[in-house]
Amino acid sequence: MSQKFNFSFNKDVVNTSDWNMQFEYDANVIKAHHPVTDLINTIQTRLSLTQDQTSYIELTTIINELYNNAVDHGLVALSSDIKHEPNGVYKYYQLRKERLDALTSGSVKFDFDYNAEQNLLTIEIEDTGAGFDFEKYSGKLFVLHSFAGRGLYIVNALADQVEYFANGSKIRVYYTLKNKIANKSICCDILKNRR
Amino acid sequence: MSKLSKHSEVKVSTDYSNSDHALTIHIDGRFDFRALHDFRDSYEKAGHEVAKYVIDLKSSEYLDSSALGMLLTLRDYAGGDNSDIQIINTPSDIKRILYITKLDSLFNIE
Repeated sequence: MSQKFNFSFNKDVVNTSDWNMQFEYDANVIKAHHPVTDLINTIQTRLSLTQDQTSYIELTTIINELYNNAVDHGLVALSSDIKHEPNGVYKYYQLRKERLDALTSGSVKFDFDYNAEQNLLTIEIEDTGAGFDFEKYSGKLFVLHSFAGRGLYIVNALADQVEYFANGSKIRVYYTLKNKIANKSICCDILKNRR
Repeated sequence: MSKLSKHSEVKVSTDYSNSDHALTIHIDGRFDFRALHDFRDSYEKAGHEVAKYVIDLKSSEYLDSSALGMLLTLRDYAGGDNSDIQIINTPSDIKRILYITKLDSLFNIE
């Protein structure tokens, strides 16, 4: 099994410096685990987010929906149209499981880039699949009763901006954190008092 | 609310009230695709005549798009526009997701 991690921190002070983290999950990891849960915990910890902060659940939701989208519509190429059949949601996840069990190749890559100045997190996710009909499922054509397209619709609603590349197999999300940068303001107060 | 643990799972349990034929489904933990079968069994195998469904999210930590699909599937099962489904004890963050996806117009959310 291969999980690649690549961290680079400028300083050890949380949220006052820029950082970048990359993660890559191959087919074996994706099949055996749901690695996004640990990934989300790592990112929340790096950003010092606690559960009472709005950004906590928003980021959990964004990362989770992006990951599921990459696996479902990228790696195992499921069509969300199945979800419209009676009990389609259940058929969909049954088929997802079967295809994941049979998966031997492919990977999902994450790149997180944090800009402290703007308190902006840029998330890039790229999968080795052929892409998907992102025009259809990006949320622009969202229908109230629809069983499909809700994942990316939520991402669109929560993020500042969403960009699609390579037929949807690469997605970039810009998200400005809603927390205050605690360390930074303490630091500035200290400086102010010294003057 | 407890903090999400690394390996937190979801627990689905039910209560049935004879007086108003209400089936209450409690979702504890992460309400995501891993709850699929337990959630479906909770109403399809209820073994009672159900007039009203109550989804209790008091101990839910999180809800994803597949959970929204499950709720819509229950809504169809319960009679679509004629269904009576109430979502109670909804944590504010989860409420926001339901509002964002406009599902607040299809369910009675408290």
